[in-house]
Amino acid sequence: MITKSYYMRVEKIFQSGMQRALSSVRFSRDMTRPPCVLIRAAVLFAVGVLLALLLQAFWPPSVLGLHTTGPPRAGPNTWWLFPVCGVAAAVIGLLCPCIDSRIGGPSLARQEWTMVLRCLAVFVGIIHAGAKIEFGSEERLALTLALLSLGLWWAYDGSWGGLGVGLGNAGSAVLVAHLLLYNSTMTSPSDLLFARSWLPSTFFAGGVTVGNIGRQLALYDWQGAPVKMHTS
Amino acid sequence: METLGMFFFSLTWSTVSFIAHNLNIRLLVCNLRRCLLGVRMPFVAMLKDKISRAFYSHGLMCASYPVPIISFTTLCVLVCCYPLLKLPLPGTGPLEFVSSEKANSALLDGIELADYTQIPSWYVGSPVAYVQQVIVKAMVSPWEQSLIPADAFRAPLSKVFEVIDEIRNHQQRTSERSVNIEDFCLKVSSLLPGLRKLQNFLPEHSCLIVSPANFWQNDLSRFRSDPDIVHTMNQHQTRPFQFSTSLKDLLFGVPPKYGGVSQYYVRERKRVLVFAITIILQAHDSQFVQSLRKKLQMLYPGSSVSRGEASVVHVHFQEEVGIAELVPLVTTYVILFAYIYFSTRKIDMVKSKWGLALAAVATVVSSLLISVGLCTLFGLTPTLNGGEIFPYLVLVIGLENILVLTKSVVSTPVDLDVKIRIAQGLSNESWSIVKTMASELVIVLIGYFTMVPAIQEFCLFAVVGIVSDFFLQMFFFTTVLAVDIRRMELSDLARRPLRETSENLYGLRTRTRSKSVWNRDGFMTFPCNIPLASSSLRTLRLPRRLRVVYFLARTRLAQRIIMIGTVIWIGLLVYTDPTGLRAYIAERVSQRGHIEDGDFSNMALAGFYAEQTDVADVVETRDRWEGFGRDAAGSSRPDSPYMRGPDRRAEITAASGAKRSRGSLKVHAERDLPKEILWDKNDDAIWRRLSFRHWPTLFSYYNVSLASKYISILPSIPLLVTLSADFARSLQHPNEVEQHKMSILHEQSNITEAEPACGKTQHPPTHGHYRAAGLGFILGAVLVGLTCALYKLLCPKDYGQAGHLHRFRPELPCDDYGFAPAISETLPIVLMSGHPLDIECVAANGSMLVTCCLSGSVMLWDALTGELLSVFPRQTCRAGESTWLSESDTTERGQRESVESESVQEFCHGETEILTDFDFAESPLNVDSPHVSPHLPFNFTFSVGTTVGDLRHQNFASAAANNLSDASFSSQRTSLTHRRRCRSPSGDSLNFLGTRAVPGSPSPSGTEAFEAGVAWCLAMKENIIALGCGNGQLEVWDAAVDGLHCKHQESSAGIIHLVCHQKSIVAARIDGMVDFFLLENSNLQNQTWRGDMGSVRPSTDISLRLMHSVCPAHRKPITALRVAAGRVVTASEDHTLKIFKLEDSCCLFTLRGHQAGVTTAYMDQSMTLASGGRDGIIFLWDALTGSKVNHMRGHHSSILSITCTPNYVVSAGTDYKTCIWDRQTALLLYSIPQEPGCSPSFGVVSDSLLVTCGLGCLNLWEMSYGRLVQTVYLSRAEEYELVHQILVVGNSTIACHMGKNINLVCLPSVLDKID
Repeated sequence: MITKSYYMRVEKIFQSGMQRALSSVRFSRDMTRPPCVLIRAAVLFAVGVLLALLLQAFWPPSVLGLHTTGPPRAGPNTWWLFPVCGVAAAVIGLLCPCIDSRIGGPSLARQEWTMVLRCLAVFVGIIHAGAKIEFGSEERLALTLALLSLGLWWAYDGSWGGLGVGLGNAGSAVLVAHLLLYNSTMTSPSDLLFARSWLPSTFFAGGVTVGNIGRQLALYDWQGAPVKMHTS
Repeated sequence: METLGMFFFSLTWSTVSFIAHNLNIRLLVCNLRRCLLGVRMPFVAMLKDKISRAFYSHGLMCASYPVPIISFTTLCVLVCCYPLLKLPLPGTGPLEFVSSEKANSALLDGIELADYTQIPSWYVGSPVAYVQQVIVKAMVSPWEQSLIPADAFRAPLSKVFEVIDEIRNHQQRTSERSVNIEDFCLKVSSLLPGLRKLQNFLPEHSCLIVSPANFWQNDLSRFRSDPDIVHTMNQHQTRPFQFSTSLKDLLFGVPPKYGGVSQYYVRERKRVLVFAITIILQAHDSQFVQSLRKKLQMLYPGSSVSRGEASVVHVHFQEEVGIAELVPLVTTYVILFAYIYFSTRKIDMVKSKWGLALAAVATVVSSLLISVGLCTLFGLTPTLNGGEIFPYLVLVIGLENILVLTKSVVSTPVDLDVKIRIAQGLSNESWSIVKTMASELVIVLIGYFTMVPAIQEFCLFAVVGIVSDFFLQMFFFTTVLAVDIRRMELSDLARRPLRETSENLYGLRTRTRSKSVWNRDGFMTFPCNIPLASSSLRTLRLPRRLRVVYFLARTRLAQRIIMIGTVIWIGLLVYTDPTGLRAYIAERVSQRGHIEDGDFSNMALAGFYAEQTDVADVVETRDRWEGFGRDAAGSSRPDSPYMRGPDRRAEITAASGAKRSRGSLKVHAERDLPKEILWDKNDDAIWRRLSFRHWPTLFSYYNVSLASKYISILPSIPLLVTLSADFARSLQHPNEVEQHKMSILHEQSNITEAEPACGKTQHPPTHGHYRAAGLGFILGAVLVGLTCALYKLLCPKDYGQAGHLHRFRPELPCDDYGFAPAISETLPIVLMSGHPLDIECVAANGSMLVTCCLSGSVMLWDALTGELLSVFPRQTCRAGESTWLSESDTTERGQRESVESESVQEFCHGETEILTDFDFAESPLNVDSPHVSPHLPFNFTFSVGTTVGDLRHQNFASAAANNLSDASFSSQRTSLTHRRRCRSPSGDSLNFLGTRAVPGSPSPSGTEAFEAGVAWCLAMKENIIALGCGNGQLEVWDAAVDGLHCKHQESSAGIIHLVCHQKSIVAARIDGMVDFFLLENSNLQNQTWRGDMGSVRPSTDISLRLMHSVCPAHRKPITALRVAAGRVVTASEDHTLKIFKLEDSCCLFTLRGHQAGVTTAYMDQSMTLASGGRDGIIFLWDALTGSKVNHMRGHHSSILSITCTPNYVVSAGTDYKTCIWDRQTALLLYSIPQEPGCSPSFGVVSDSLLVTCGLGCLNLWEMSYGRLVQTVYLSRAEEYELVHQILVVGNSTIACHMGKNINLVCLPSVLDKID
């Protein structure tokens, strides 16, 4: 049986590959300054890995009810999930400021570390709520998480670019997950429902959050020292 | 219903209370009516206005009554938190529930109990297991002398095998069949893989019955053949601390203290052995258990104990927190702390940053507490895990409002009253605060309608939290902010020295701030005056002893007390830890107590000899010891005891047996032990004293988790067993007997060595003693380390150094807060220049300082270190130059002309009388200078204080008179310097200097001697030093090689202003002419350099070319000349300023506006030109367009100097004050009075720091607040030297010259602060 995290893994690879292809065109300009971009990418990569670890901690296989069937998952298979998540986060985080410069990002008042941290905390809260709270049904879970994610976007991002990135992230995630689910032979309907319910919201919120972090990091590039931002 | 009521209440409680006392009801009604009637005012704008007014009046109230409001708020918080006391504290300890045995069986039968409310929520379903303990108390009684200590364990322990056999073989016959223990007990599989070493001791694949018999695999024969049972039992006692459960505890089933078996059993007095046989049952059949109990009690008849009602105790184990559970928790808390860090970092410009951050965090936390408290009050019991949702709640509530408030209040004008500042700050941000709160409430309300109970609960908490947070922000935090800002202003005030006299030294004087008008825009209408202290107050100093006492009292003592308190507290925490240290220490101490009692030897022989407590006993025992000693000595003298044969041993045994048979000895055990073992009530609950991890540990060995489950502990079955001595003796192991005899012999030999008179023996400390000592040592080291760390943490300052630094510093008056203005620790470097006369002009570039005195000598200093770099040999190298320059006709002619004028002037330097005689007729005033050359083409009228130069002239006049007497001394110094610096010291120059200074002597008549003109002005750019002379000669020197580059002399009119700008030099002459020179690198090959007289050839030759000459630029003397951004500005006495282009000297604009002569001008790179006139008006011009931008009136008499910074304009005038103006609005911000007798000169360091002169000191002011930052004393406080001029070198050094000396003051500390 193909486990859930395997879906996630594959989906992430697909997504990151797609976005890498997308971003390679637009970011050729920024690559003229390799050190800054590389540092940013490294930081975002670390953030992505940490978020993946967190996701793993919140949605352990026991919660998903998957460990009962079949042998326990082999250890070596899971390690490369995290780098893939990191790459995806780096791509999103580098993409977001680029999109902002094209179509206008959130207001500068929102671009502060405190807001970014609040956003991150709400994202963790959304994952937490999805994992821990007993919702009556999958629909309710999906609805609540979607509402929370939209609220996250509205409160901490509010830009069309951020919405687009989040929706793209969520859409690609769902698409890949569903493709995998349909193609695999051992699909159970509950798995599908479950994936439908929490996957899009989580990935939407994750995209918005990582985008926010990326924007904040990009401020360091543009202004040299972000301390100026605080004092001004 | 209740929740709804609570919801409504929480929503309204703070907003209503807030609005009610602020808004005028009448106003509200009026506005409502207006709104209803459709007045044009848009609703939102009206709402905004209302809100801002409400916040304004609220801010006024908060700032007016801080103490009542803070106490009221604290009271509110305490009242709201009161319901929290009812909440159970979270913890991981096990919970107990006691039910009677009958009730338990009833519950099992499905009958519902009457008082079901008492049943805890976890008491659902069946327990994991039932625990039945059979507790055996056994002793050997009566104790006989022939028994060895090990017998006290061996015989009782052997009983365990019997009892276990009985239990295993117990059959209960019911109607259908006979059942035995196998039918009920919990069958366990194998141990966990990691516990292989315990495999032999714990049952596997069978009933889980643990007892001490497991040490010997339930095999009696193994037990009998074990030579050292105590060692066997203790071999797995690896951990010295009793935090966890060891194998021995598991098998014994009783707390180690009760077990009676210790590793050092020989010293134990207790001889009752207690152990338990723990049977874990899977199912509880009370009939079977009863039958077992009856059978066992029948077998051991002594144990028929009358018991009360037996009760079953159910123990619930809470979920253990694992790493997987901790990950989200840790993540959220990390995010929370990062958030708090980033938020509080932005709090700025307040008195106590930490205090405000603390207040902010306290606001948020207490609002959360209020929220939980209110929810509990209204009947909603929190089911969520508080620790998990707490970070989310904090982040939802947020610290943003607080930051916004602080920022808004801080950014209000500093000069307003505190109340008004607070009110204004509040009202500025009122709309955004209300909007944010409303939107947050809306979001949370949306969440409330998700109809998911957990989310609803969270939202409820959040709503109440947000509202109470708003309440606290408005009442608590605003008030704290007001207090803080008031404190900051007080400390600002304290930095300003007071003009009070001695009766009010330590009192505070209210700052003379403008109370007059505050208009709504927040502009101040009147500037504030900064009072300055009289100098006598500044020199006041307290006795040093008193200062030390104050210092100690202020800082060190309090911190030390805190530190000691913390250490004690931590120590108490550690000590009172019930499971940890105390029990261990107590045990160790009790063991060591025997050693210290001095009867260690008796204890070692416990069970053999009587305790010596009675006097008679003492005598007897001594006899006995002596007897033994003789005996042992006699027998053991030939060889060691180990070498003896068995016959000897037998003989000793016989001897001791004979002594024992005397009957005079009391048996230790008889006295210590009760005759009979009793079962007291405490023993029933003996399992309670077990570590709370006892049962989870036991079960975890078999991979059974007790987390969030419970076990039931059945009433234990007590068995009391008394064993006869014969039985014990029959079990003795030969090895043990032998060892025992050995140890006795050993003791005896020790006794003989000890002094028998005192009856006490010194014993080498044993193993346990070492352990206790080691533990004590480690503890002590840890405590010392902890103390050091705490000390470092709490007292970061090095007091010794601070005290040292404050030595020799005049004390400034402190205020109530113990604050005194900072006195600079920088010691000014005094450049003891060799200038024979007063320094005339000073110029500087980044790191070099050039001074020129009236005698014409030029010196070059390092501006950072104060090192004398070189002295320019202006007189000595003159000959070579003249030859070099003689090619030019003009130069030669000029020289000749200059000779005349210079001779006159130089003569005047020496001869004051002649000077006055000479010039008196022409000058309109008595005080005039030799600078007014007789060759002036037209007339000037000078008055006192007209030009900057005038002051110089005055100085010169006085200095020339004063310094004649000591001129010889300094000139000798100069000559020495000359000799050292010049490669070929010439006797001529020495001679010249030596003779010249002699008063009254005629100056040497040689024309060469006075060829170099008196320097009137000096300019420096990189390595180029330009020197403008009174004879109209312009000299260009190289600072790097002390060489003269070139000279230029076309006009005889003296150069009064000189500016170097890149490659050009602009010179203003006294006749109103402005010359533009260009420095060119001339070709070295074409020059024939023949100068060999004491001058070093310049490395690159630079020549001077006169590009343009504007003649006359002004009809009256030029008073100021500035060059910036390609423009040259000249200010003149003819009421105008002119702007020229630097490259082609084209006059761009003539600026008219001053009603009197323009005395000073300043222009910076932004082409903003500031000029000050003799009428006291300052004009701001735009030099690009030539238009007037602004004007400032504030000075009453002529302005002497003016400077612009990006934000301010600073001016100083002859009316003894220095004014700081706002550059944009042209408003007077501060005016600083000059101290009487001080020069009006000032300097600006790094755009924000103003340096003014004081009496013997420099005052450093921060321009943005107008407060005195530092006072730098230039000399000892008793001697005042007047500072003539201040020059800022680079960005951190201030050079001020006072007479012949230059003082260098480096200000790294101030700059660090400002940057």
